[in-house]
Amino acid sequence: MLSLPPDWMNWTTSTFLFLGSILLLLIGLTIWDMKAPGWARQGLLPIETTRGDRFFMGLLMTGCIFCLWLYFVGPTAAWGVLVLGIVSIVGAINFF
Amino acid sequence: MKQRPWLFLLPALLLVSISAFIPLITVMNYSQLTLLPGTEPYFSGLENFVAILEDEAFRAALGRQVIFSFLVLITEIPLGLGLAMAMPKEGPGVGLSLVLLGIPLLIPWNVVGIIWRVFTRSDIGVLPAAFDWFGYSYEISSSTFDAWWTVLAMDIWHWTPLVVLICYAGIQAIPEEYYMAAKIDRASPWKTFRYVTLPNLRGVLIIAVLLRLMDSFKIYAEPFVLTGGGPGSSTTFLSTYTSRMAIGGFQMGRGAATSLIYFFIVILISFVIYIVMLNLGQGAGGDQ
Repeated sequence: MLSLPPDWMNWTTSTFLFLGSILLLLIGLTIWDMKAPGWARQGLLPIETTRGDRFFMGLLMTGCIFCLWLYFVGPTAAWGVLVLGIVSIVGAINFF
Repeated sequence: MKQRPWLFLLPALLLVSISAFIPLITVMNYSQLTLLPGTEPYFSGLENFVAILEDEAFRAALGRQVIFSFLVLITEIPLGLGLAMAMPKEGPGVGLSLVLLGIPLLIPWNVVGIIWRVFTRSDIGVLPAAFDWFGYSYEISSSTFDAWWTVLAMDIWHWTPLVVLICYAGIQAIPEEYYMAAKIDRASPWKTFRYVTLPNLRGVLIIAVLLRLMDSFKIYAEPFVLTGGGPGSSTTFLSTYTSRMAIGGFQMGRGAATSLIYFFIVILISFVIYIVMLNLGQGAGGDQ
């Protein structure tokens, strides 16, 4: 557990890292979009998606993978979710 | 000067961060802790999530929730759309209809539950008396079927007016010229509905479906007051399960983990339905 204020929030290291990663990814996407603006395009899905849409889909897929991993594998080797999550986000941004 | 819009948005963003993000982050922290009354919280990692996902009662509540939301959507959306189309377009009937439709929406959730509890009481309730007249023994406290359809009817009574109002606003915004063109082409009422009304209502229908989906997923006070989640646990939905876990069972950590999974499921289903409806609407010629 982290000793961040306020005390009643009971900050944990994993929440801090998770939210920090999301924030960094969002900042990264913003910078990427400013440097090379991405347009809505159609990929594997039958709808046009922007880079932000595809990133959000990647996050949702990661959430699903997390739940399925915990149900079928359990909390052991949870780093596997991280690897699969990164693969799903990169895959979604490139192919959806 | 280019940054001026952000300054206007800043108060709203601050308010949202206080009212939404901070509680959400707190729940995320709590979901990884074991919090029991009178003891110091300690880190338990993903244990709470595993326990919830393996809990038979959670899966049963989730199943009931999905079925309930599905029934709500397939009933309220067509009914609301039909009523909106049947409403008068001008004259004194408009105001009267809007006021009548607004009444259920003005009643607080728990009061709706109390009203329907009075309706269904075996000694003074109108529903048991009416069904008794037809020879059917209505028993909300012991019959799962009666409890289910009563909770469903209560939700339809409470929330269909919202769908009607949303659809009515959408119908009023469709230019009259489209209907005149359809009339000149001798389009049948069905084809006028299919190719004029429905595509032009795509946006409002997406809003109505998403609002009702999210609201029905969050249903708590009405079934809690009406049936208390019973008989047995037949009307225990996800919200009731979560509150029992966190407040009744004093397991705040598990309650927080359930809340996060619950939140994720609502986002996931809403997003999938949004994408599907957007795609369906484009296929139906909504932008043509």
